[in-house]
Amino acid sequence: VFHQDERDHEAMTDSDAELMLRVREGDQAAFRKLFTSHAGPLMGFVDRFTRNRAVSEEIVQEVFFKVYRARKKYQVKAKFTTWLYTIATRTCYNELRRGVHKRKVASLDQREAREPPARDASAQEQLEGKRTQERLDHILDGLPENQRTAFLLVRFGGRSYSEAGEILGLTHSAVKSALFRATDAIRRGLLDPQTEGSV
Amino acid sequence: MNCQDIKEELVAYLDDELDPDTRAEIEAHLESCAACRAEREAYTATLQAVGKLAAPGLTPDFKRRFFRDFDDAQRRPPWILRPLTLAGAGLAAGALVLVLLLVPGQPARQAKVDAVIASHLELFEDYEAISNLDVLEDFEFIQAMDDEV
Repeated sequence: VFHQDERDHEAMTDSDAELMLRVREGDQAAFRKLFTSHAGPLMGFVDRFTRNRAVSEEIVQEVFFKVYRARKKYQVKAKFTTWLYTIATRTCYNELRRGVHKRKVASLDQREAREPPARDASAQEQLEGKRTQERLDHILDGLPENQRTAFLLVRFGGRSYSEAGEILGLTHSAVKSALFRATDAIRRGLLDPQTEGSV
Repeated sequence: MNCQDIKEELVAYLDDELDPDTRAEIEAHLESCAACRAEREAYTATLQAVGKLAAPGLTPDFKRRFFRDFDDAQRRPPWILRPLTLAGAGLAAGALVLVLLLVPGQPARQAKVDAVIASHLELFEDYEAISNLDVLEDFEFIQAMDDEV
Protein backbone atom coordinates (compact mmCIF):
# COMPACT_ATOMS: atom_id res chain seq x y z
CA VAL A 1 0.00 0.00 0.00
CA PHE A 2 1.35 3.39 -1.03
CA HIS A 3 0.31 5.92 1.60
CA GLN A 4 -0.32 9.60 0.94
CA ASP A 5 2.62 10.64 3.15
CA GLU A 6 4.94 8.48 1.07
CA ARG A 7 3.56 9.96 -2.14
CA ASP A 8 4.01 13.45 -0.76
CA HIS A 9 7.57 12.58 0.21
CA GLU A 10 8.20 11.32 -3.31
CA ALA A 11 6.83 14.59 -4.63
CA MET A 12 9.75 16.37 -3.03
CA THR A 13 11.83 15.01 -5.91
CA ASP A 14 9.39 16.63 -8.39
CA SER A 15 9.71 20.37 -7.83
CA ASP A 16 6.35 21.03 -9.53
CA ALA A 17 4.56 18.58 -7.27
CA GLU A 18 6.34 20.17 -4.32
CA LEU A 19 5.04 23.58 -5.40
CA MET A 20 1.55 22.13 -5.80
CA LEU A 21 1.71 20.71 -2.28
CA ARG A 22 2.55 24.22 -1.10
CA VAL A 23 -0.43 25.57 -3.07
CA ARG A 24 -2.57 22.93 -1.35
CA GLU A 25 -1.41 24.39 1.97
CA GLY A 26 -2.38 27.90 0.86
CA ASP A 27 0.88 29.25 -0.61
CA GLN A 28 -0.22 31.69 -3.33
CA ALA A 29 3.33 32.49 -4.45
CA ALA A 30 3.80 28.81 -5.31
CA PHE A 31 0.74 28.99 -7.57
CA ARG A 32 2.18 32.00 -9.36
CA LYS A 33 5.41 30.07 -9.91
CA LEU A 34 3.53 27.10 -11.38
CA PHE A 35 1.62 29.39 -13.72
CA THR A 36 4.78 31.20 -14.81
CA SER A 37 6.59 27.91 -15.50
CA HIS A 38 3.84 26.01 -17.29
CA ALA A 39 1.37 28.42 -18.87
CA GLY A 40 3.66 29.13 -21.87
CA PRO A 41 4.30 25.51 -22.91
CA LEU A 42 0.65 24.67 -22.16
CA MET A 43 -0.38 27.48 -24.50
CA GLY A 44 1.70 25.78 -27.24
CA PHE A 45 -0.34 22.60 -26.90
CA VAL A 46 -3.74 24.27 -26.49
CA ASP A 47 -3.16 26.71 -29.33
CA ARG A 48 -2.41 23.89 -31.77
CA PHE A 49 -5.51 22.14 -30.49
CA THR A 50 -7.92 25.06 -30.94
CA ARG A 51 -6.00 27.12 -33.54
CA ASN A 52 -7.51 30.20 -32.05
CA ARG A 53 -5.51 32.46 -29.77
CA ALA A 54 -8.47 33.98 -27.94
CA VAL A 55 -10.03 30.59 -27.19
CA SER A 56 -6.62 29.19 -26.20
CA GLU A 57 -6.16 31.96 -23.66
CA GLU A 58 -9.60 31.25 -22.22
CA ILE A 59 -8.75 27.55 -21.93
CA VAL A 60 -5.33 28.07 -20.36
CA GLN A 61 -6.91 30.43 -17.83
CA GLU A 62 -9.68 27.94 -17.10
CA VAL A 63 -7.18 25.10 -16.67
CA PHE A 64 -5.19 27.02 -14.06
CA PHE A 65 -8.37 28.09 -12.30
CA LYS A 66 -9.39 24.42 -12.17
CA VAL A 67 -5.97 23.53 -10.77
CA TYR A 68 -6.40 26.15 -8.07
CA ARG A 69 -9.98 25.15 -7.25
CA ALA A 70 -8.88 21.51 -6.94
CA ARG A 71 -5.82 22.33 -4.83
CA LYS A 72 -7.17 20.86 -1.61
CA LYS A 73 -7.90 17.57 -3.36
CA TYR A 74 -4.45 17.41 -4.96
CA GLN A 75 -2.67 14.12 -4.36
CA VAL A 76 0.70 13.13 -5.69
CA LYS A 77 -0.31 10.21 -7.88
CA ALA A 78 1.63 11.29 -10.96
CA LYS A 79 3.81 14.14 -12.17
CA PHE A 80 2.22 17.55 -11.81
CA THR A 81 2.44 18.06 -15.58
CA THR A 82 0.50 14.84 -16.19
CA TRP A 83 -2.30 16.20 -14.01
CA LEU A 84 -2.11 19.63 -15.67
CA TYR A 85 -2.22 18.28 -19.23
CA THR A 86 -5.00 15.84 -18.35
CA ILE A 87 -7.12 18.77 -17.19
CA ALA A 88 -6.10 20.74 -20.29
CA THR A 89 -6.91 17.90 -22.68
CA ARG A 90 -10.36 17.40 -21.14
CA THR A 91 -11.02 21.12 -21.24
CA CYS A 92 -10.02 21.22 -24.91
CA TYR A 93 -12.34 18.28 -25.70
CA ASN A 94 -15.18 20.02 -23.87
CA GLU A 95 -14.52 23.17 -25.84
CA LEU A 96 -14.56 21.17 -29.07
CA ARG A 97 -17.86 19.57 -28.12
CA ARG A 98 -19.37 22.96 -27.38
CA GLY A 99 -18.16 24.06 -30.81
CA VAL A 100 -17.47 27.56 -29.57
CA HIS A 101 -13.98 27.75 -31.03
CA LYS A 102 -15.16 26.91 -34.53
CA ARG A 103 -17.23 30.06 -34.72
CA LYS A 104 -14.31 32.09 -33.45
CA VAL A 105 -11.92 30.41 -35.88
CA ALA A 106 -14.21 31.47 -38.70
CA SER A 107 -14.21 35.08 -37.54
CA LEU A 108 -10.42 34.99 -37.13
CA ASP A 109 -9.98 33.58 -40.61
CA GLN A 110 -12.12 36.40 -41.98
CA ARG A 111 -9.94 38.93 -40.20
CA GLU A 112 -6.72 37.33 -41.49
CA ALA A 113 -8.12 37.32 -45.03
CA ARG A 114 -8.16 41.11 -44.90
CA GLU A 115 -4.45 41.34 -43.98
CA PRO A 116 -2.19 42.76 -46.75
CA PRO A 117 0.08 40.28 -48.61
CA ALA A 118 3.71 39.76 -47.45
CA ARG A 119 6.35 41.97 -49.12
CA ASP A 120 9.82 41.40 -47.61
CA ALA A 121 11.89 38.26 -47.03
CA SER A 122 11.02 37.84 -43.37
CA ALA A 123 7.33 38.28 -44.13
CA GLN A 124 7.78 35.71 -46.90
CA GLU A 125 9.21 33.25 -44.35
CA GLN A 126 6.30 33.95 -42.06
CA LEU A 127 3.91 33.29 -44.89
CA GLU A 128 5.70 30.02 -45.66
CA GLY A 129 5.48 29.03 -41.98
CA LYS A 130 1.80 29.86 -41.99
CA ARG A 131 1.24 27.69 -45.05
CA THR A 132 3.10 24.83 -43.37
CA GLN A 133 0.89 25.26 -40.33
CA GLU A 134 -2.23 25.22 -42.47
CA ARG A 135 -1.12 22.02 -44.20
CA LEU A 136 -0.26 20.46 -40.85
CA ASP A 137 -3.66 21.44 -39.45
CA HIS A 138 -5.36 19.98 -42.51
CA ILE A 139 -3.48 16.69 -42.09
CA LEU A 140 -4.16 16.58 -38.34
CA ASP A 141 -7.86 17.10 -39.02
CA GLY A 142 -7.90 13.84 -40.94
CA LEU A 143 -6.38 11.80 -38.10
CA PRO A 144 -8.27 9.77 -35.48
CA GLU A 145 -8.70 11.75 -32.24
CA ASN A 146 -6.20 9.74 -30.18
CA GLN A 147 -3.50 10.02 -32.86
CA ARG A 148 -4.04 13.74 -33.18
CA THR A 149 -4.04 14.43 -29.44
CA ALA A 150 -1.05 12.16 -28.79
CA PHE A 151 0.85 13.99 -31.52
CA LEU A 152 -0.02 17.42 -30.10
CA LEU A 153 0.84 16.38 -26.53
CA VAL A 154 4.28 15.06 -27.54
CA ARG A 155 5.25 17.55 -30.27
CA PHE A 156 3.75 20.76 -28.90
CA GLY A 157 3.18 19.97 -25.22
CA GLY A 158 6.61 18.39 -24.76
CA ARG A 159 5.19 15.31 -23.02
CA SER A 160 6.94 11.94 -23.10
CA TYR A 161 5.20 8.90 -24.60
CA SER A 162 4.55 7.58 -21.08
CA GLU A 163 3.00 10.85 -19.94
CA ALA A 164 0.87 11.13 -23.08
CA GLY A 165 -0.25 7.55 -22.41
CA GLU A 166 -1.29 8.40 -18.84
CA ILE A 167 -3.17 11.47 -20.04
CA LEU A 168 -5.02 9.59 -22.77
CA GLY A 169 -5.38 6.25 -21.00
CA LEU A 170 -3.16 4.50 -23.55
CA THR A 171 -0.19 2.16 -23.21
CA HIS A 172 3.31 3.28 -24.19
CA SER A 173 3.05 0.94 -27.17
CA ALA A 174 -0.27 2.48 -28.28
CA VAL A 175 1.20 5.99 -28.04
CA LYS A 176 4.23 4.85 -30.04
CA SER A 177 1.95 3.49 -32.74
CA ALA A 178 -0.22 6.65 -32.72
CA LEU A 179 2.87 8.85 -33.02
CA PHE A 180 4.24 6.79 -35.90
CA ARG A 181 0.97 6.90 -37.83
CA ALA A 182 0.49 10.62 -37.25
CA THR A 183 4.10 11.42 -38.21
CA ASP A 184 3.88 9.20 -41.28
CA ALA A 185 0.72 11.01 -42.43
CA ILE A 186 2.39 14.37 -41.84
CA ARG A 187 5.50 13.25 -43.66
CA ARG A 188 3.46 12.38 -46.72
CA GLY A 189 1.45 15.58 -46.47
CA LEU A 190 4.30 18.00 -45.79
CA LEU A 191 7.19 16.53 -47.75
CA ASP A 192 5.18 14.97 -50.59
CA PRO A 193 2.20 17.35 -50.93
CA GLN A 194 1.02 15.60 -54.10
CA THR A 195 0.09 12.57 -51.95
CA GLU A 196 -1.76 14.70 -49.40
CA GLY A 197 -5.09 13.60 -50.77
CA SER A 198 -4.33 10.04 -49.70
CA VAL A 199 -3.85 11.06 -46.05
CA MET B 1 12.71 -7.20 -37.71
CA ASN B 2 12.16 -6.58 -41.41
CA CYS B 3 12.25 -3.14 -43.05
CA GLN B 4 8.53 -2.46 -42.40
CA ASP B 5 8.99 -3.30 -38.69
CA ILE B 6 12.02 -1.00 -38.56
CA LYS B 7 10.10 1.80 -40.28
CA GLU B 8 7.35 1.64 -37.67
CA GLU B 9 9.91 2.04 -34.89
CA LEU B 10 11.80 4.94 -36.47
CA VAL B 11 9.77 7.79 -34.98
CA ALA B 12 10.12 6.35 -31.46
CA TYR B 13 13.81 5.78 -32.24
CA LEU B 14 14.24 9.46 -33.14
CA ASP B 15 12.31 10.44 -29.99
CA ASP B 16 14.59 8.20 -27.88
CA GLU B 17 11.55 6.29 -26.62
CA LEU B 18 12.79 2.73 -27.28
CA ASP B 19 14.22 0.18 -24.87
CA PRO B 20 17.99 -0.38 -25.29
CA ASP B 21 17.65 -3.79 -27.01
CA THR B 22 15.24 -2.54 -29.69
CA ARG B 23 17.35 0.55 -30.19
CA ALA B 24 20.48 -1.56 -30.71
CA GLU B 25 18.65 -3.79 -33.17
CA ILE B 26 17.49 -0.79 -35.20
CA GLU B 27 20.94 0.75 -35.24
CA ALA B 28 22.42 -2.51 -36.49
CA HIS B 29 19.79 -2.67 -39.25
CA LEU B 30 20.37 0.96 -40.27
CA GLU B 31 24.09 0.26 -40.66
CA SER B 32 23.38 -2.18 -43.42
CA CYS B 33 20.16 -0.86 -45.03
CA ALA B 34 20.28 2.26 -47.21
CA ALA B 35 16.50 2.24 -47.76
CA CYS B 36 15.80 2.39 -44.03
CA ARG B 37 18.44 5.11 -43.61
CA ALA B 38 16.54 7.14 -46.24
CA GLU B 39 13.33 6.55 -44.27
CA ARG B 40 15.05 7.77 -41.12
CA GLU B 41 16.13 10.96 -42.92
CA ALA B 42 12.58 11.57 -44.18
CA TYR B 43 11.13 11.27 -40.65
CA THR B 44 13.92 13.46 -39.28
CA ALA B 45 13.05 16.15 -41.86
CA THR B 46 9.35 15.82 -40.98
CA LEU B 47 9.96 16.30 -37.27
CA GLN B 48 12.27 19.24 -37.97
CA ALA B 49 9.59 20.92 -40.12
CA VAL B 50 7.04 20.46 -37.34
CA GLY B 51 9.54 21.68 -34.75
CA LYS B 52 10.08 24.92 -36.69
CA LEU B 53 6.46 25.95 -36.28
CA ALA B 54 6.40 28.86 -33.89
CA ALA B 55 5.17 28.30 -30.34
CA PRO B 56 2.78 31.11 -29.45
CA GLY B 57 4.04 31.84 -25.91
CA LEU B 58 2.26 34.16 -23.49
CA THR B 59 1.62 37.83 -24.03
CA PRO B 60 2.21 40.23 -21.11
CA ASP B 61 -1.42 41.29 -21.51
CA PHE B 62 -2.64 37.71 -20.98
CA LYS B 63 -0.52 37.35 -17.82
CA ARG B 64 -1.89 40.60 -16.45
CA ARG B 65 -5.47 39.59 -17.22
CA PHE B 66 -4.94 36.16 -15.71
CA PHE B 67 -3.73 37.48 -12.36
CA ARG B 68 -6.36 40.22 -12.34
CA ASP B 69 -9.16 37.67 -12.97
CA PHE B 70 -7.58 35.32 -10.44
CA ASP B 71 -7.57 38.06 -7.83
CA ASP B 72 -11.21 38.88 -8.61
CA ALA B 73 -12.25 35.24 -8.41
CA GLN B 74 -10.42 34.89 -5.10
CA ARG B 75 -12.11 37.89 -3.58
CA ARG B 76 -15.69 37.22 -4.63
CA PRO B 77 -16.94 33.94 -3.15
CA PRO B 78 -15.28 33.97 0.30
CA TRP B 79 -15.85 37.66 0.98
CA ILE B 80 -19.50 37.77 -0.02
CA LEU B 81 -21.13 34.38 0.04
CA ARG B 82 -19.83 32.51 3.05
CA PRO B 83 -19.88 35.32 5.67
CA LEU B 84 -23.30 36.41 4.44
CA THR B 85 -24.62 32.87 4.62
CA LEU B 86 -23.37 32.56 8.16
CA ALA B 87 -24.58 36.04 9.04
CA GLY B 88 -28.01 35.22 7.62
CA ALA B 89 -28.27 32.01 9.62
CA GLY B 90 -27.09 33.77 12.78
CA LEU B 91 -29.47 36.69 12.34
CA ALA B 92 -32.42 34.38 11.66
CA ALA B 93 -31.70 32.37 14.80
CA GLY B 94 -31.20 35.57 16.84
CA ALA B 95 -34.45 37.08 15.55
CA LEU B 96 -36.34 33.92 16.46
CA VAL B 97 -34.93 34.02 20.00
CA LEU B 98 -35.86 37.71 20.30
CA VAL B 99 -39.45 37.11 19.17
CA LEU B 100 -39.85 34.25 21.61
CA LEU B 101 -38.45 36.35 24.49
CA LEU B 102 -40.55 39.44 23.76
CA VAL B 103 -43.86 37.67 23.44
CA PRO B 104 -45.15 37.25 27.04
CA GLY B 105 -47.12 34.37 28.38
CA GLN B 106 -46.86 30.67 28.11
CA PRO B 107 -44.40 28.78 30.36
CA ALA B 108 -43.40 26.67 27.39
CA ARG B 109 -41.89 29.80 25.76
CA GLN B 110 -38.57 29.63 27.67
CA ALA B 111 -38.21 25.98 26.81
CA LYS B 112 -38.56 26.89 23.11
CA VAL B 113 -35.91 29.65 23.47
CA ASP B 114 -33.54 27.19 25.11
CA ALA B 115 -34.18 24.69 22.33
CA VAL B 116 -33.38 27.26 19.60
CA ILE B 117 -30.18 28.36 21.36
CA ALA B 118 -29.16 24.76 21.93
CA SER B 119 -29.73 23.83 18.30
CA HIS B 120 -27.64 26.81 17.11
CA LEU B 121 -25.11 26.76 19.94
CA GLU B 122 -22.17 26.43 17.59
CA LEU B 123 -23.30 29.44 15.59
CA PHE B 124 -23.74 31.61 18.66
CA GLU B 125 -20.39 30.61 20.15
CA ASP B 126 -18.25 30.65 17.02
CA TYR B 127 -20.01 33.11 14.78
CA GLU B 128 -17.48 35.92 15.16
CA ALA B 129 -14.44 33.77 14.57
CA ILE B 130 -15.99 31.84 11.68
CA SER B 131 -17.36 34.88 9.93
CA ASN B 132 -13.93 36.51 9.87
CA LEU B 133 -11.92 33.41 9.00
CA ASP B 134 -12.13 33.69 5.21
CA VAL B 135 -11.58 37.41 5.33
CA LEU B 136 -8.41 36.95 7.34
CA GLU B 137 -7.16 34.19 5.05
CA ASP B 138 -7.86 36.23 1.94
CA PHE B 139 -6.34 39.32 3.42
CA GLU B 140 -3.06 37.46 3.89
CA PHE B 141 -3.31 36.18 0.31
CA ILE B 142 -3.94 39.63 -1.14
CA GLN B 143 -1.11 41.11 0.89
CA ALA B 144 1.25 38.40 -0.38
CA MET B 145 0.18 39.03 -3.99
CA ASP B 146 0.57 42.79 -3.57
CA ASP B 147 4.02 42.35 -2.08
CA GLU B 148 5.14 40.43 -5.12
CA VAL B 149 3.84 42.84 -7.75
